[in-house]
Amino acid sequence: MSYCQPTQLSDLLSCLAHPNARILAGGTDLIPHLQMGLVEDPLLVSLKGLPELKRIEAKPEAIHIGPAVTLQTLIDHKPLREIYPVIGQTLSQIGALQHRQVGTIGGNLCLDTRCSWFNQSAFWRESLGFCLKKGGDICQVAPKSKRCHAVLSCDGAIALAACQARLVLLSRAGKREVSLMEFYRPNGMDHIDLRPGEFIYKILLPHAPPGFQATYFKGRARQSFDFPLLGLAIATQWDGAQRTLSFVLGGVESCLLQVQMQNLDSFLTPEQVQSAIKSCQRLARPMENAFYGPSWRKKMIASFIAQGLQQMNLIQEDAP
Amino acid sequence: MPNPCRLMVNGEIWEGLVDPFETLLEVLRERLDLTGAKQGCSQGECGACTVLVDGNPVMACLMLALEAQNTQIETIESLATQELHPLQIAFVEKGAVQCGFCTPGMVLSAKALIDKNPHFQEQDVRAALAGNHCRCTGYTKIIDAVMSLSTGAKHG
Ligand SMILES: Cc1cc2nc3c(=O)[nH]c(=O)nc-3n(C[C@H](O)[C@H](O)[C@H](O)COP(=O)(O)OP(=O)(O)OC[C@H]3O[C@@H](n4cnc5c(N)ncnc54)[C@H](O)[C@@H]3O)c2cc1C
Ligand code: SF4
Ligand code: FES
Ligand code: FES
Repeated sequence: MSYCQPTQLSDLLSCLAHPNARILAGGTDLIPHLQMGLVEDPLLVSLKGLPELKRIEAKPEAIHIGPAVTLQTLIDHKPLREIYPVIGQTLSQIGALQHRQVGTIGGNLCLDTRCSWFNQSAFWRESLGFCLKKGGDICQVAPKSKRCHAVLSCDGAIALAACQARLVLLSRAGKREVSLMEFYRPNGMDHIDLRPGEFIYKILLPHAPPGFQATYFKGRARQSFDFPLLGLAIATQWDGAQRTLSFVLGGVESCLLQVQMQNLDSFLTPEQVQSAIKSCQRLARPMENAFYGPSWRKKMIASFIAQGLQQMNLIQEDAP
Repeated sequence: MPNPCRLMVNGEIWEGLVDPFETLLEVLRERLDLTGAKQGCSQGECGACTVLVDGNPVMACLMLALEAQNTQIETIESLATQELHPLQIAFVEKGAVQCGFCTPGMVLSAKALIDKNPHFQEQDVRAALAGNHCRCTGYTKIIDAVMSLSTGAKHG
């Protein structure tokens, strides 16, 4: 294993062209993986020497967030808190203060998928015969499956997708832009759309659309700190005289999932609420690979949606 | 391949060669003999290895020594020079220490809170200590000890 700390963007891109290059941002996900033998012999490419990746800038078309901005910096960022309170609400539920002080937003978006058969020591995994994601040839959760079902567990991605964030990806081959929804794909061993040598250079947050409001719910075993077993962001905005609603789900697949409803009035009817719940439950296919099983996670989808819509005043109180 | 590393720990400079994957915790404990920060899980799960980096609590098992360069690192050993720090006295007086394994991390997480906001409330203490696990005390006495130093709360 080796380490480099480039101080120029061009040097960073050259380091990333190395086949074993792995960005080391806050290290709060990568170092536990190294300790457990889940990542072998990497060239660690530190982002510490590049202050330009730690900036937050409001530009006319969008807010630009550097990937090395820490979660705590985003939580404490006053202008962001005013425009998108849901981001601070979500990020403050990630890990403990010690993780948020060093963990970065770029690292959060590229957090490895999690599975109770995978996030274990080498000794533990060896006794089982390993699995598709690392060193084996079957998925222990779905033995007939050709792909891995480890779960997308980064809370930040769920909230940022609800705010319609986009990513600027950069490599020596050039720059491209993708939406956060497109960035993830349904395969836990290859769940992010990063090409060789590419990294998240910027996160672009559009200025909030008219009437934008959002909230986040996290299902987890311990409140003190734990990865999401279900993460649900609900966002709404006005499109002319009609309301649009978006539900973004994490913790139930290897990618983000989204249900959208358009042409709504100010308030949702009970049928529309049920339809939102059913659509989200139908889309989510949680597996038996997290602390709480599929039935709990599906049930919680209904509970979170009902609570969220109530909190956002999207359900009319019965007339007295 | 070992890399040169220069750390500022408790106000003193340490220089040496470290392996890229040597964590700050390993360097503190094994090279500097500062064994106050404990090695519990090495996974960022227990908080026993907490030290302060530029005044913020950080898990030393999750930080490579090379990444801790150009920062000010404080370990529990820096707290009691002539006499105990008020937090250490409060932990003793309130019976907040049993086996003591979590105590250095708890005290440093609490110190970071107190240094930033002396008017903290109980919910702030709970949030500040959420990443520090204790297997012995049941947390109540630890929270009592920290709360006894709040300038903004009533305590008995
Ligand atoms: C005990 C514990 C609890 C946690 N709980 C949560 C939780 O509840 N929710 C949650 O979301 N996270 C949780 N985390 C994970 C983590 O702390 C955060 O997700 C953090 O934001 C990760 O960022 P990092 O900078 O530390 O990532 P790193 O560990 O540095 O990197 C993670 C991955 O992203 C890659 N990477 C980093 N930056 C970039 C970039 N700019 N471009 C491309 N690739 C990049 C790295 O190569 C690596 O593969 C927890 C971690 C621990 C140890
Ligand atoms: S879902 Fe299957 S292949 Fe993926 S990590 Fe879990 S056991 Fe391994
Ligand atoms: S030893 Fe670092 S958190 Fe447990
Ligand atoms: S006193 Fe024993 S772990 Fe806290």
